[in-house]
Amino acid sequence: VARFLVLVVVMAAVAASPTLANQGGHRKGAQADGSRASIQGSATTSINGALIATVRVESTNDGLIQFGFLKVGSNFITGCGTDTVGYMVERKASGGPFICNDYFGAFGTRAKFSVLRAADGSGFRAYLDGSVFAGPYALGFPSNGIAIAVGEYLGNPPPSYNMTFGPSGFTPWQWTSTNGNNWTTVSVADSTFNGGGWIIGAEPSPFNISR
Amino acid sequence: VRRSSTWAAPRTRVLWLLSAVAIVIAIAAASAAMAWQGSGEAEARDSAKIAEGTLGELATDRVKSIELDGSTVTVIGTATSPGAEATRTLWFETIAGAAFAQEAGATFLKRTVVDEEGNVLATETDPVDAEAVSVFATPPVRSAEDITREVQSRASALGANLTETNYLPLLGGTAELVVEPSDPTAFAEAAGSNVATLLGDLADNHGPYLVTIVDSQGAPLLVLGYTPGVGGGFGQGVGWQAPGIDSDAIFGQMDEADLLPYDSDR
Repeated sequence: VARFLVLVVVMAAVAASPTLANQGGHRKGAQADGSRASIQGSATTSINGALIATVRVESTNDGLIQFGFLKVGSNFITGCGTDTVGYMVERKASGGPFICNDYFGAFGTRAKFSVLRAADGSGFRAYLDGSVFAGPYALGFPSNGIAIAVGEYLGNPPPSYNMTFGPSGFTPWQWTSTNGNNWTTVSVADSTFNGGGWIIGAEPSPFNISR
Repeated sequence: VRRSSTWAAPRTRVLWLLSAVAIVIAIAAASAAMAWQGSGEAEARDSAKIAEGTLGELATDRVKSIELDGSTVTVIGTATSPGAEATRTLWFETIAGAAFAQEAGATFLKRTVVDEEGNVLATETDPVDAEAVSVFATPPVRSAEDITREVQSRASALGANLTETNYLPLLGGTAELVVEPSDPTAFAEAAGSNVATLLGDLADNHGPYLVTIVDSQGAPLLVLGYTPGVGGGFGQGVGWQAPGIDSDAIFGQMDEADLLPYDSDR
C-alpha cells in the first residue's frame, strides 16, 4: 500500500509538472482561408506562465496565423516576448520560424478577431473589428488550412481562464473557404481537441473555453 | 513712322518683360533642380553613412547589406542553412534594420535571408515604429563584459554553460547568447522559465535578446529572440525549435495528429 501511495504521489507530481504547451478548442474545415470570432472574458497567468485566446488558421502540414488576446508572465519568456498583456499576431510560414508580434490591448474586453487570406495572393491579414491590423503575410500554404478557435497556455497553468467565443449579439466563431466572400458560422466542428484540463463548450457560439 | 514707332515701343517692352520673366523662371527651375539633386545626394550619403555605422556595430558577418528605398529599409543577410541558422540571421537583420530604420525615419522593414548560393531561406516584412527613437538611441549601458559576466553566472546556476556571446552595442547593449545546458533537451523544453532566468533583466521593458540553446555537439535545439519597435506594436518575437523538441516557450504548436481527422467535405 505504501509503495502504491508513493507511486500515486509521484504520478500526480509528474502530471502537475508545468511543462509544454497545452491547448483546447475546436477546429473546422480542410480548406479554410479564414477564421473569426468576437472574443471576451478573463484570465490570469502566473509569473511563470503565459496564455492566449485566439482564432487561427493552421496548415495540415506546416504554417499558421493566429490573432487574439495574450498574457505573458514577468518571469517567463515566449516567442511573443515577456511580461506583456494585450493582443498578439503570430505567424509561421512553411519551413520558417514562429514570428509573433505583441501589441497593447485591453485583455478580455470584447473584440472581433479575424485572420483571412486575401484572394489576390498577397497572403493572410489579421483584422481587428473589421479593420486591417497586420499583414499581409505570405505563409506558403495555399489550400490546406484548418480554422481553429483555441485557448492555450504555456508554462504554469493559469490560475483562472474563462473566455467566450462569439458572445450573444456579436460575431460567432465562423470560418470561410472563399477568401471571406462567405463566412459560415460553425454549428458543428469537425473535432475538438483538449490537451488536458480544458472545459470546452459545445458549438455553435456562444461557447466558452475555460479551465 | 511715328505711329509705327509708338506701336513698337510697348511691344518691345513686353518682349523684354517676357524675356526677363522666362530667364527668372529658368534660373529658379535650375536652382530647384540642383537643390533637389543635392538633397537627394545628401540623403543617399546620410543613408549610406547610417548603414555603414549600423553594420559596423554588429559583431557578426551574417548581415551583408542595409539599404533605404523610400520608406522601406531592406536588409539582406546570409545563413549556412534554413532553420536555426536562418532564424539567427533573421534576428540580426531585424535588430540592425530596426536601428537603421529609426535613424533614417523609415516605416517598413524588409529582411531577406539567403544561403551561400543566393537561395532565399526566409523573407519577412513588418512595420517599424519610427516614434520609438529613444529606445534605439539609448547609448549602451551594458558592455559585452557586463553581459557575459551576468549571464554566465545565471547559466551556471541553471546547469548550463555560456559558450558564445555576440555583443551588439545597440538598444542599450544586448547580445546573442549561445548556451549549452547539461541536459539540453530538458532545458529547451522548459525554456519559458529557464531562458527568463538566464536573461535576468536583459529582457525587461521589451528589451532585445537572442538566445540559442545548443547540445553537446553545438547543434541548435531552440532559438528565442525579441526586437522592440518592430511589428507595429511592442515588438516582435521569433522562435524556432529543432524537430523532436517540444518547447514550452512557443505558442501554436500542434501535433499533426491533432489536426486530423477533418471533414474532407467541409
